[in-house]
Amino acid sequence: MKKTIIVAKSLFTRRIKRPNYYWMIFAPILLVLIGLGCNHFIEQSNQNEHPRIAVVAPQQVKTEIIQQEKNTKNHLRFSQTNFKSLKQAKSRLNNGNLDGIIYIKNNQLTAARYIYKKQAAASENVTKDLNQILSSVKIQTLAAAMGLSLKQVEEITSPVKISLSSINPKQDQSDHREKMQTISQFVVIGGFLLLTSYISITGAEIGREKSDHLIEGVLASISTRNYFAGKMLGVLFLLGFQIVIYAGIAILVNSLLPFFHQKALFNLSFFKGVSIEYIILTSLLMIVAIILYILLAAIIASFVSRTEDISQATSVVASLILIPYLIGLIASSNSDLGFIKILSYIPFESQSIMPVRIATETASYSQGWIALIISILAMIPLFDIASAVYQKHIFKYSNHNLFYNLIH
Amino acid sequence: MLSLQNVSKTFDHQKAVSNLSFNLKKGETLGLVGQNGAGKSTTFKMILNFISPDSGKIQFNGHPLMAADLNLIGYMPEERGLYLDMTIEQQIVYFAALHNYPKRKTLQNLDYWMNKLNVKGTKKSKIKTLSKGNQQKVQLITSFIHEPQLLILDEPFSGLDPVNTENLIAAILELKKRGTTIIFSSHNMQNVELVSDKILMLVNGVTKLNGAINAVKDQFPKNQIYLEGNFESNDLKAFNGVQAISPSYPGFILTFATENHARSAIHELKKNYYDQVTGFKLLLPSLDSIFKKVITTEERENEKNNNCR
Repeated sequence: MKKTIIVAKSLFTRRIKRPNYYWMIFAPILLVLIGLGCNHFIEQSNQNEHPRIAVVAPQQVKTEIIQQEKNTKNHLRFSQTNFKSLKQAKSRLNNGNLDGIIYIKNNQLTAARYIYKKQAAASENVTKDLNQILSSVKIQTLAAAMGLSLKQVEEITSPVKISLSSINPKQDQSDHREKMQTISQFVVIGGFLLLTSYISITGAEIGREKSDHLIEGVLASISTRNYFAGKMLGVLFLLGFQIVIYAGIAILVNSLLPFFHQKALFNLSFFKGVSIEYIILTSLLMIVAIILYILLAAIIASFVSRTEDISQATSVVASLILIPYLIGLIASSNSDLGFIKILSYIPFESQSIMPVRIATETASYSQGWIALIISILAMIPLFDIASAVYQKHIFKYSNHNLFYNLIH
Repeated sequence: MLSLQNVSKTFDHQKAVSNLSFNLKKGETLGLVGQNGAGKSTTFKMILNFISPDSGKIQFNGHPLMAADLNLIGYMPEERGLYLDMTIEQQIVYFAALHNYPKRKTLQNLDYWMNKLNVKGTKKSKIKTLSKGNQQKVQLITSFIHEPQLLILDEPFSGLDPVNTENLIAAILELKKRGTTIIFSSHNMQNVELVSDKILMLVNGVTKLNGAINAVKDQFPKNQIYLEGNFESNDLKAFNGVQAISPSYPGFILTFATENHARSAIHELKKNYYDQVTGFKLLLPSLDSIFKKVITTEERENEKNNNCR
């Protein structure tokens, strides 16, 4: 056991010193940040595309209109320039410096004209917003003329609040289901990335030591089974460290975001309502699946003879992950199919499919725990098989390629 | 310490090792010689239990090899392999730890052996920055840093220059003096002769020679004489059966067709050249000549067998 730990620690310390390990950890976070950033900038640029509108009206009316625009959420951008005449504003419109002009003659709000050049500046949203702003200004002007106070005006114009109470709670559930479905898709994609990384690490660890003939010197000091167990444990140490880093980042983000107006970028409330049981079950299914796949990768890497075979070994296992990945994506839209139900219990597949089924409420948590137990039970004989295959093939070298060695 | 009895191994219907037997006591050194593919590395792998023999018995300290015995064995494989990203210290400490050897003693031993083998670089140097020769020295230190009872070295001299070969010979002799049992393979017969007590020669997996070096040499005709005295090389051609005369300062080495010719020449020297001779010696055959003779005989026999078929 002591030697197994030494092997695991050595693998762990060697790997965590490599920059590509951190790339593996932070690349998905970076991708998420880039995605959010892009989304943020797209929203910003959409805002910049709001039509620039000049107001040509008596000063008082103009001030009220601009003030009202600031107070409401709309798709408009009003120019602050004071145009002396409609002609002057039209000239700017022709030059392309403006997208539209709202022209009000002699405080006649009801006879307002909207002049534009391109159709995009008179979209439904724009005209609706203009109507709303001008109507508000009209109400306020009339109220002032009638001597009504601001409170009275607000009372007259405020809409009636209707308290919604549904006798059909399924609508709420439907919203929740939709949210869980999105989260389960994240689980499928995230799981795919994690599995690929750890298969690649295992393939490289086992395959490189064999192809570089390092293994003979090492196995003269430790039994093959203990060494194999140490290697697998080392990979799990790396996984554990990655989970700790992610947990640390999550705690940090959770505590720091309120100081950075996170709503501009994220809406963490989206994750509210995701049960702890779902998080634990999904995480455990994923961890057990990683163990199963690294054992499979170790079996195939044991057949490697040359350095160039290592990438073949990892790609063989990586292509196998595509199956649960694709089925997981199919399940997110149609999780009630018979074969999906069966596959959600099968080790190597359940980590992608069962979380989707639970999210879409076609499987219960108890069924999820059963799938987890099946995967754990599969892990034990697979370790024995992997260890035996490793022991049998680790000293066998061949001039043939990996596929030939696997078949023969 | 180590005993092999009638050990055989076949790969794909081809005998790699056939009925191999030998015993090694504590502190003895065995040189395993043979051409490429003779079964030397297979023998080492069977001793280490990397592969199981098809038949026969291998015992270490009186019992079949167990996991705990690996702490008492050191091994340097023929194919060199090190963790290139590690420093010398990390590499050595890791392997010593796998042999349950304490870190403090490992570091003490490391200083000593790096100095003894003249390893260029410091303990903190990364393996990948070392030359091939220095990497080989690190691998060698890795194999015996934990003071093993049995040290197995597969082709330890290959790739070393003469100076480093001398350093390695000195290291092996020191380990031998400390009581380490050593078994190694080599193609260089001079080195085998310098460090071994025993020799075992394999030809196509079959044992052709096995025993103490002098006992093995005694099995072959002694047809060479070393001669010192007041002679010109032309004078020596007069001896009956002389095949070659080569200067070997301060004398000559005379090679005769048979041992009888050599003995007759000695008789003649004593009788007729008493005043001119200052010294002479009937030489034991060199391991190099024995190796060539065994291989040539084997090839001739194979050729004969093939012709008969």
